[in-house]
Amino acid sequence: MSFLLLGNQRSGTNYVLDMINQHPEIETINEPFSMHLDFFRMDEEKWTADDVDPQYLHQKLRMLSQTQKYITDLNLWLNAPYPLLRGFKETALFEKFDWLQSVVHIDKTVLIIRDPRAIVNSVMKRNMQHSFWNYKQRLSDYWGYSGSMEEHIVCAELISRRMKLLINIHENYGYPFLKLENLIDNPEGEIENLMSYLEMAVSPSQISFCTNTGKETRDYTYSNFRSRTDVVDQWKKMLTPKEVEDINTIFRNEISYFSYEV
Amino acid sequence: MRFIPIPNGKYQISRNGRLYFHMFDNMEISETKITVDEFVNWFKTSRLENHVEGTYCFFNDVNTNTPYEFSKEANDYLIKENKHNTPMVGVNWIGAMKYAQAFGGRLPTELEWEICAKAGVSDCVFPWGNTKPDGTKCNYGNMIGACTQVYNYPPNAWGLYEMCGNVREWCLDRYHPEIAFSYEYSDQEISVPIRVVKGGSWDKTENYLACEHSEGKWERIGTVGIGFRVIRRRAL
Repeated sequence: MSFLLLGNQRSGTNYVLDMINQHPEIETINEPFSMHLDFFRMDEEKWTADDVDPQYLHQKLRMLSQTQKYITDLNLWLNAPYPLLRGFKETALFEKFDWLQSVVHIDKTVLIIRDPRAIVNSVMKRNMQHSFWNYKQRLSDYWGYSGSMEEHIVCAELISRRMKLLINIHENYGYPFLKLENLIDNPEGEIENLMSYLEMAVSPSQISFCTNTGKETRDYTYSNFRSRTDVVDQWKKMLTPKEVEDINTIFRNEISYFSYEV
Repeated sequence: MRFIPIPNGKYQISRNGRLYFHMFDNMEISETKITVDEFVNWFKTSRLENHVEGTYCFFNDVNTNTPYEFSKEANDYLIKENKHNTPMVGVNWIGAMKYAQAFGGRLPTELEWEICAKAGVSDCVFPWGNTKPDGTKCNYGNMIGACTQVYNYPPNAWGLYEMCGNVREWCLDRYHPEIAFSYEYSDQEISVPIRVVKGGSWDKTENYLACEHSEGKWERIGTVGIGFRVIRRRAL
């Protein structure tokens, strides 16, 4: 069986993937599209299931036969007879989800959610909106955005669009959300729910992973070690009141949808 | 690349109540994991093409978190600062084998790797013995948050550095969860393109460090947590 974790950058997708991977019968790949294929690093154009090309997977990939082969091979890996569960996570392709589901075999999808203010704070703290993530360019190229270019607004505008896509996926297909804050606060219960959805038993290593990594913060960009305070509350200290107000305005629907505190 | 001669002899490894044997005869293995410097400098002279039609063939140059990058200005791969002597990562199984073959060798089998990690002592849990891992013995559990230089931690009794921690290592064997040491001990063909990796890494918990711990990874994928070393016959 195969699974996909889909969530925004800086929303704990690595953490959840690594936690799942503690299970001895589960194997995972980290972002096989956006970290291994040029095309999916930058492209944010919407593709649907109707766009699947039987020969090239998608017409836009017709000149990229190695990319096509990679995706076909990935699909073979997802369909391999072992380990029992194989999966991957992505922080991109929200807008291509229908296409993605049609070209690779995914049995179960889980949507990762984190407080949007914490996501914006985490992106800005590391200046990740620049360089290869290039939020400004993506907003203007793919979303026709021409509003304020203040850093926190640019981050919030792009992330809110992606969060809306996650909500659409949830509403169209009924795939469950996993809220990062709930996993931090109640690892045993949330892991039980998640593994039950993935039709696997919980491994004790998965529980101890959450317990151990939550004891302290090791403040490297991709570290799994984060104290609860840093995951849940740090944005309250780092963002200015004006930034919080702006971000709350942009995310007003999502904050309410996911019952985050205003 | 420095090689360490493997002491000749017949060694045994126990797994799930069964003994597995291997004879080393005039073999040598690289003292450390292959470094970024070694790999990238070799690749530049290899005339191979890495990036083809939107993806990589041998090492991941799409992920920007690797210790090297392709410079359009220089039209060449450049090694990032302070990364020359860290393990070559982002290399997939195919790239690791290409490198090994270029130096007259190959990747170690899982059984060879495990014997070397334990320096021939079959009941050794870790390369240093049976005491628990800590930050003085190897790089794991996000204690440092990145790869370290290949000579950073003490070697095992055979003089091999980092047989656990820092980055995991590709092995020759195809992985099967129910068949240990498949290259030498499986009589059935395993066609799934998943290869054994061993040794744990800087970003993984201590659960991955024990010499007998094996994982299976898709051979096509190059990630920041997997490198390799080379084994070959000793020149007489």
